[in-house]
Amino acid sequence: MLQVRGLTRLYDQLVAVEDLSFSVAPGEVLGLVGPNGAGKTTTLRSLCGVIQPTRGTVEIGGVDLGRDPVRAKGQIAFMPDEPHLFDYLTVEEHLRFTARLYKATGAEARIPALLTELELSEKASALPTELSRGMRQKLVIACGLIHDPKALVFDEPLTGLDPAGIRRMKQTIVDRARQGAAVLLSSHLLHLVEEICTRVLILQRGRMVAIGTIPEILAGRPDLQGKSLEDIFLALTGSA
Amino acid sequence: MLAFSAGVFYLWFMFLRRGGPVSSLGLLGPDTRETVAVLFLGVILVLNWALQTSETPFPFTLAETQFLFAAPMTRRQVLLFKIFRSQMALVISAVVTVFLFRRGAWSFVTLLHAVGLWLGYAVLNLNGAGMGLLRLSLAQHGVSGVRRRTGTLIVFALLAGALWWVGRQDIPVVTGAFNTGWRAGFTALSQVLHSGAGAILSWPLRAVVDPFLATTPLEFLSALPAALLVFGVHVWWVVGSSIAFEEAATDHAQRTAKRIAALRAGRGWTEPRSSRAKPLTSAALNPAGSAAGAIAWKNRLGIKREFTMRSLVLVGVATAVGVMSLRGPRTSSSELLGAFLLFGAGMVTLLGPLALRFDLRRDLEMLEVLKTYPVRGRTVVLGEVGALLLVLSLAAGALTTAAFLVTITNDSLPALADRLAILVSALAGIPAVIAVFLLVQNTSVLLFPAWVTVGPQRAVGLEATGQRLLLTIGSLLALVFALIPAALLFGAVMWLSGDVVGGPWSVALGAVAGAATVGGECWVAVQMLGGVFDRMDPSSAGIASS
Repeated sequence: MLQVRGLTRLYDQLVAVEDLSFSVAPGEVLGLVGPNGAGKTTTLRSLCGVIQPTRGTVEIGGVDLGRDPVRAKGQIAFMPDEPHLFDYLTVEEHLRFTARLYKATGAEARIPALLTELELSEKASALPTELSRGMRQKLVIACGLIHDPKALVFDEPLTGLDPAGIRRMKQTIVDRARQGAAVLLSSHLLHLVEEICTRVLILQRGRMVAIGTIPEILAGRPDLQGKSLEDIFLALTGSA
Repeated sequence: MLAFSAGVFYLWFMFLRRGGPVSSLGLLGPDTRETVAVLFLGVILVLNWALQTSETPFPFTLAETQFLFAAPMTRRQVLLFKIFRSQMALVISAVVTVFLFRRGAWSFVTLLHAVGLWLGYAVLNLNGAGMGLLRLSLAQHGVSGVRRRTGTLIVFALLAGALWWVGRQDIPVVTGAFNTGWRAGFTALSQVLHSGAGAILSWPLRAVVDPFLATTPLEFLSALPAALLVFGVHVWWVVGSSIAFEEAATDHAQRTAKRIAALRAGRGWTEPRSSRAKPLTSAALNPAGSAAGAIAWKNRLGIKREFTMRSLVLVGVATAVGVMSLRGPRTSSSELLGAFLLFGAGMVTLLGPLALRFDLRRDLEMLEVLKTYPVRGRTVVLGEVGALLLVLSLAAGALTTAAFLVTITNDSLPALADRLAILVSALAGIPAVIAVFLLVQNTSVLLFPAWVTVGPQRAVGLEATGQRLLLTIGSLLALVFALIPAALLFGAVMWLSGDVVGGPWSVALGAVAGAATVGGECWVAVQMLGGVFDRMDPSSAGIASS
């Protein structure tokens, strides 16, 4: 569903991401972890067409993002860590606007359901300035889900959510994967990654240092057997 | 650096240059200067009363709300502290203003002028605070608030009544005097302000402006007690209010803090709405339809929700002033109304695209979001520009049509058929001019994003002034170039059709052909700008969030 080949992104002389290749299959949740400045956000932004890679290709649902960006972007949803919303559109108007841009079928019926799922029904006519940080985050996620995307990209999806919201958000992510979506999740919360991700990709200074299930990663590092993901992460990134 | 230099040049040209627009005020006589100053102060006060919406008496910072409101201080002590603290900023403003007006030349009298101006600023500041408290009282307590503020409201009612009475008596005399010349007009106005009820009404205003206008230390000293009295009455009015302003002040402080945080995060100077304000409802967007239509719908909603009554009143006042200054002695009421509407249409056409920023100038702060949408750049540009083009064209077109309709029975104007041809020309030309203006503005923000303020508010300061100056010159040049092909076709069609349909209708045909040419140019520009948008990288555009 999500295929990345040789992704490289340079900022002048600075190499943010170098020769990164991986794929995310339908139903899979891939956790993207790495220390600050490892290139996680650059990778996510490249996958969603916000920035153009210096080299390499990204395919979403078999469509090359560079060659046919409109069709490729129509199959993916990006939920950034910082919820950027239009100050003058209400919650429901954000959903209608996004649905129209993505040509989402059955949006009229999906909007109330999504508002209920993300506990935004009572705030349907509220402006973003009236919402808490967590509610703004939920609205961004609702906008991302309105067109039923085949690939979902989350950047720190739990920021600002209360404990009940965190539980529901995790369930939402798992449910979408079960329904066949490919999910890429970037987070510093390693317990979250350990709990809901089927595979993990560890980035360090723009390069991939490990990818696979935790047992697969441990197979290459027998000295880390029995350790938690946090210990594995610290050992592989040299942060310990 | 270039923009900063342009800003410095503008400052020098307007304020510091000998013979510049501001320095020529010194040529007025003392009575005229006082009259102009009183009128200026009066207009500012009335505009503050009518248009000011802030409910907080003073803009408290978030830190002040957290420490002062929780401290063991009475409300009166908090207000006194704030009044005292705000004086420092007012003193600096007064000194800077006098420095600019005096072109840097200092003397003892100049220093006294600065003190006089500070008194004026302080009274204005306190008057605004008092009005804020009054509004807050009325908003908090409704009918009982009216009862609580009976004294203040009676004073305002008496003032309004006295103004109406004086105006009814004296406006015809003053207007007649102005028709014979501006010196005679100001002399008549000065007489009104110094005799009878006009003298009583204008006394507080004259008391405030006189220290600033004093030319000798003795004049200053004799004018000072009255000004201090007005200042003292304002302090008593504000400090004597027992209105709970803390919640409104905290709300205001939080919104200001959010704006600053947004600015520091590189998202522009956002204007968060008050949490109490409810959005105006609007027709729901049909989920099926074009992406450009959706973007235009979004921007149209933004215009509707953020275009305030204050903007409308300011446009109306500017239009009225413009029309009144141009009217002749025998202008009929329908001609006056028609001129008012046409002047308004002109302002909407020429200034609307610069003043309203609901296009890429506003939305580029959301570039990261826009780039994730499955939409081509040309569609984004079309939608972004389309909303303002539609709204402004409809407004200007409606005003022009209304001007035609209110003068339809007027026999002193050109023949009705000719006026109809002119109307058709205008209706064809208005969208073309607005489209070019909007595309020039949007080209600027796409090609030079670091040079244009992205977001809802305009930047201030010398550098921003210089940037706007250079961009305005560039915009006008681009407009001239864009209109050359249209002007050529306009002339050709007018010349060719002149013998067939006659003068005014050949102009109309030419205008339609010229507008179609501009439309074609705009279509090409949208395609090109779409390509620029597609290639735009938020990281290198200088507007990316972290």
